[in-house]
Amino acid sequence: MQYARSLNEAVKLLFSRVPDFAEARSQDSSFMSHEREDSPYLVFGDFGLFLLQALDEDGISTNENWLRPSFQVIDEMLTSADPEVANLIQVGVLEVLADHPEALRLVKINLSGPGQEKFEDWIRSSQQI
Amino acid sequence: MQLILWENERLLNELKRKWFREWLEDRVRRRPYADTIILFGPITGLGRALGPAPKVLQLGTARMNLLNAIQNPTLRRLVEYSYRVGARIGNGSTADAIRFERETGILLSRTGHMQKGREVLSSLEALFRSNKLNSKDAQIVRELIYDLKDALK
Repeated sequence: MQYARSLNEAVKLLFSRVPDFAEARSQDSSFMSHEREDSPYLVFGDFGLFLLQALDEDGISTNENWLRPSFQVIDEMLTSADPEVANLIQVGVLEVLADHPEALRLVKINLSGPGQEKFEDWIRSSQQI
Repeated sequence: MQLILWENERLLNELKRKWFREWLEDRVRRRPYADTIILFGPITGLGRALGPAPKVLQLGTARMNLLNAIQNPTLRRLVEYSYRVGARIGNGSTADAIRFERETGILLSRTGHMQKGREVLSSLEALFRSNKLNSKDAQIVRELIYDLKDALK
């Protein structure tokens, strides 16, 4: 499949910043994006589900080392000037978390100021629909 | 001023959503809606795929009913990814999000759900070809493929 270079770069960014996810995904063939690096929405969908698993557990394991860089990736992509990159985070990750208010809250409080604004914009528009 | 614009946008979107519901119902006749198993009726035929569900299943959402029936872990992830519990558009599926975006012109995210739909479709087709599915999972995949192709055509 042909994608904008920015989406392929987003996938590479995610793998390099969150190697725990990259490793889990490459070892577990049940991941949607297993051996499908050319499908950014599947990669980020898997990332959303991976994140949800950590954020949704009892006691919420925010001490996981990989969570901080995960929030940074979300922040950078959400505030990207490239609408395709922002869309990838909205559709691939935030929508996966959307039915879990506590997970969404944790993401939000770990975003930068501009990231929180974009997050609120997304919340507002998705609630309108 | 900003508040007035938001309110106008909200009202316009509400009208479009109402129109979309009517369009969907008109198009597929008793189109499945969230909360009952007939959700998988006319378009997807998933009601048939799931067979006669126990009573408890009949009370579930589209997502819940599918997840209760699925054995294959990759298919489970694809359904978790493609169906939202709290979505207000159609039955909460990516296919219905795409239909909504195409029919109303309102994007549900920054650039919409088409690409996600294409990738999920491609993954479902690969899974179907893999021969790793039991007969019920294969039937569910067939119907999901049909539904996504219908939305993307």
